[in-house]
Amino acid sequence: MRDPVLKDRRILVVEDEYLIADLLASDLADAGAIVLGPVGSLGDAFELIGEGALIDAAVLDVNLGGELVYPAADKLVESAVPFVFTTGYDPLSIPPRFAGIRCCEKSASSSGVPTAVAGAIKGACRS
Amino acid sequence: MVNTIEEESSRRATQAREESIELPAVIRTMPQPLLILDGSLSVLHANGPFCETFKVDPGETEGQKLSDLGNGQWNIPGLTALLEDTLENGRDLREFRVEHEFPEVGFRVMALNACRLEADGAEGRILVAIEDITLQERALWQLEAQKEYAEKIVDASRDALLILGWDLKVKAANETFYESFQVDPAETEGRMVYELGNGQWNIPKLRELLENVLPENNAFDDFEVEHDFEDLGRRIMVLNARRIDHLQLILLAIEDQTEKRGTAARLRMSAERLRRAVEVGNLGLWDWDLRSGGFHWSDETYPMMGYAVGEVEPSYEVWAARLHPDDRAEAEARVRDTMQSSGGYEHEYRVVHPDGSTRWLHARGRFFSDEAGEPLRTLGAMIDTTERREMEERNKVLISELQHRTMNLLAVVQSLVRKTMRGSSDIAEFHDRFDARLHSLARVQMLLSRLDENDRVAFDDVLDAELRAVGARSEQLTLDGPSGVSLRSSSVQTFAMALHELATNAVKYGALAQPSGHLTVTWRYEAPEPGGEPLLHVDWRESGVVMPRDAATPSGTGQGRELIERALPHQLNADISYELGPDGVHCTISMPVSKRTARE
Repeated sequence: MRDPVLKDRRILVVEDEYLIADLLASDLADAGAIVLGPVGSLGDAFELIGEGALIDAAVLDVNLGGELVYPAADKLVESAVPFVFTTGYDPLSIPPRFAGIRCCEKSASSSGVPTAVAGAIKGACRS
Repeated sequence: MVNTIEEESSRRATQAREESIELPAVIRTMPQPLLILDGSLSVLHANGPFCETFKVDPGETEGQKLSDLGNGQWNIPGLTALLEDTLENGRDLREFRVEHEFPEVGFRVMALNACRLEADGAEGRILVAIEDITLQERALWQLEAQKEYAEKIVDASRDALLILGWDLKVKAANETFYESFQVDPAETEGRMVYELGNGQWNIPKLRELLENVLPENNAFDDFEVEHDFEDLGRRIMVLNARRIDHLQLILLAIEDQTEKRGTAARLRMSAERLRRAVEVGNLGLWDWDLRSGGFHWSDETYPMMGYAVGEVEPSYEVWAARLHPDDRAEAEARVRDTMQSSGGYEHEYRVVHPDGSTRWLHARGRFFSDEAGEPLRTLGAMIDTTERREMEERNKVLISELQHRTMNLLAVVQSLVRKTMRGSSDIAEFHDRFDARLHSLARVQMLLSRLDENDRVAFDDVLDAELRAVGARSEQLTLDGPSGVSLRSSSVQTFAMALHELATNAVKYGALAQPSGHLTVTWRYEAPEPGGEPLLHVDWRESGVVMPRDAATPSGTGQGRELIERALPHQLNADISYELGPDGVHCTISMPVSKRTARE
């Protein structure tokens, strides 16, 4: 399921549950992307973002073992890096400042998250 | 001469008459009015008492016919006939009753007795004795009236009344008595009071009252007597008695208060029940009379509104003063609107107590109006819903958490499917391995679901569950370490699956697959450094395993090893070592665990 938009894009995956992170990473890799991480904590995510590593887009799990990912999301907005959220919670619980951010359900079909990330990248290019 | 002869004749006649009415002393001294009549029923003599009684002169009476006396008042046909009968046949006249309204003396009732005088020289005369019975009759009538009056009072009395003689025998009883105590007059009148109702009235207290108290005091008042009647059951009676000395009677009034007391007791009980219900249910009641402005709160209402009981006089203002600023407008509007529509009222609002705390109150009430639709009164009840609301909030969080876990779990299953598929050479192998992994996932969910909010799953519970699941035999196992080391809830699932992979591999290819093999798991708890986290060190060592000669990793173990080496560091921030030694796998795991212990 290669996606030309994702080809060789560097995608940060932030997801605490290893098996889900692994799934996301393999889906993105299958789509042609280069996966950064996956990382399972806010601290690790900040480390990668702060290192100035080139990040084309990101997938952020909203809840990282009890901590919320929003500070990292704010940082990405600041850096104009497109991203999508994944969550098992009600998407309505996401703060309104992220109203424009696509939110994917956990356990989406294999192509769901890569397609959403591709959409985010395209959206970022247009704006 | 003729005149003289005539005068003489007249004088002699008068003299003769005067002589002839010479009366015996006994008659002259009689105090009773008497008349002596001659054969023509004319008055020969009226005695002093007669003249006094009827206020007449002897002169204007004597010589008159009886029927002409007093303007013909004595002209009573029956009387004349009877007197003539007396005259002719000597039959006495007895107690002939005459009523008359006299101009001078008023209404009189008289009894007349008459008889023929038989004495010499008095033949053909009648003695009429007149008895004035006016007062007698009046007294008799008054007595009758008094008697009727007394009887009516007795009968009309709602108290049971007994009239007793001084011998304590019943003279009479009223209807109320017969009805209340279900006895009839025949078995009551003439009986000793104690014998009534087969001796049921033989009440020691009553005996004491009648025999000792009454004779000394003439009366007793409000003596309460409680007595079990055979037929009527227990009765509470209040007794009052009066001695009527003139008649030698005792009037005994018996008030049956059983019902009244019962009603009062029921009323008390009902009020008590309501009070307790209000107290137990912690209901804040209000009752507001809109016309008088009277306001009532139950004791429970005060603390709900942030007042000490009785600290304030309840009023609309006192209520409104506590409303939360954000809820005030709405709460007051609801009261106003309902007052106008005069219907039911239900509203939940916040109040702020003086200590600054906020409470939620749920109020239900009703407005009542008169025919003109003018509101008269409102009453209702409220409960404090703060705790309920907090619980609802907690439930919301729990439900959301549950939803999150479910979605996560589905994603984990999805990932497991993918992984297992990649590691399986055919569908049969996929089935076996996926089934085992799914069971492991189910076991850990079971462990997690049994926990209360603050409990944690212990390491040895997970280890035990996984070893048991793969059918490890105890003679091949050495397990050593403290029980109850708590795992972080977020790490339990992944950690359990890692242990599952280790155990599965041991059963399939390692220590538990060979009779000579042995598995030793030791663990220890490392207390945290200041500011640090407690650690759990697990040492999984397989021994006595005959390793494959080519030392190649058996197919399928790779994924288990990956899970251990990658998932645990990723998710649990664990330090891992995993090596294939000469006689089996040696794996060490060091990871942060919960500060709480599972069993304390």
